[in-house]
Amino acid sequence: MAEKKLYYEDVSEGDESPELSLEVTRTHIVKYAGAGGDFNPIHTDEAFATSIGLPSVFAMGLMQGGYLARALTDWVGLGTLRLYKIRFTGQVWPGETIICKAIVKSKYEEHGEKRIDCELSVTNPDGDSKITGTAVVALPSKE
Amino acid sequence: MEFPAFEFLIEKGKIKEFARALGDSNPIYTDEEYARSVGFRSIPAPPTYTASFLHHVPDENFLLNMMEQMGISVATSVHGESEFEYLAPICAGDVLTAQARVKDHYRKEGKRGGKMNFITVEATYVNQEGEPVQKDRMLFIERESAV
Repeated sequence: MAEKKLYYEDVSEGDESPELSLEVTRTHIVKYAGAGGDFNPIHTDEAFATSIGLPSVFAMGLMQGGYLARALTDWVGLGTLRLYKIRFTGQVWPGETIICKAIVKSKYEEHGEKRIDCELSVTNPDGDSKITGTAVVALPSKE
Repeated sequence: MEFPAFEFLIEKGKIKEFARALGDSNPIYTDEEYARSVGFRSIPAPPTYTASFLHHVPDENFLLNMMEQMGISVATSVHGESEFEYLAPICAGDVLTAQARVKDHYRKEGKRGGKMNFITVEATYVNQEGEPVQKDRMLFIERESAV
């Protein structure tokens, strides 16, 4: 059970997903806090954030992690992910633009499935890393 | 350290709200007929949706309180990594049982001196059929104050 958006036979190592880019605002952060239930004040309370020495609030890692997962499932289809692993390498501040994408690193068969490994990234337009990650995806086959 | 297990219902409205917060317009999160047409029992959960459960499902600020209980300060800690292992689909109408525990906890020297605390929390989710559906792991990193 999965969306069939991308077929194993149509993928080559080095292929890149379409990029998803977004200028992050405080509204995005507040919406994600409400939907995701993360009310840590460092993400939503500017007065608290500045009181502990931060320049402002910053986005939850899993917010950009959610946008990155969306970039991936827009491309490979929902229901195909087997593993999604991300490391938060930099904070995302309001007003910053993030660029989410995936690159195919390898193709192989495992557990009776045709799988690809992807390298994942979220960066800003200057190339500063926000997330690095990997995904294991099981793709449908035309066979 | 293990935290009390909790049971909860996967709701369509919450899935839609979560997908919308991420600007995700895939009809699979709102159109049940489409979701069924590609093989899901009902509206499926987005890939990172489970991350929201620990925050607010058992009680408000469960994760913040859990961190406090472990002596981790919100002001000096960061969420370093998240890992989601997908074993079976999670769909609206499912009743999941979640069990969170501290899987790993160690200290080491930071690059710029000072001790760092590494805490991995693992949550496992089992559905109403007793089928494990997902395993999530979160790494929190805390700088210990140099007092």
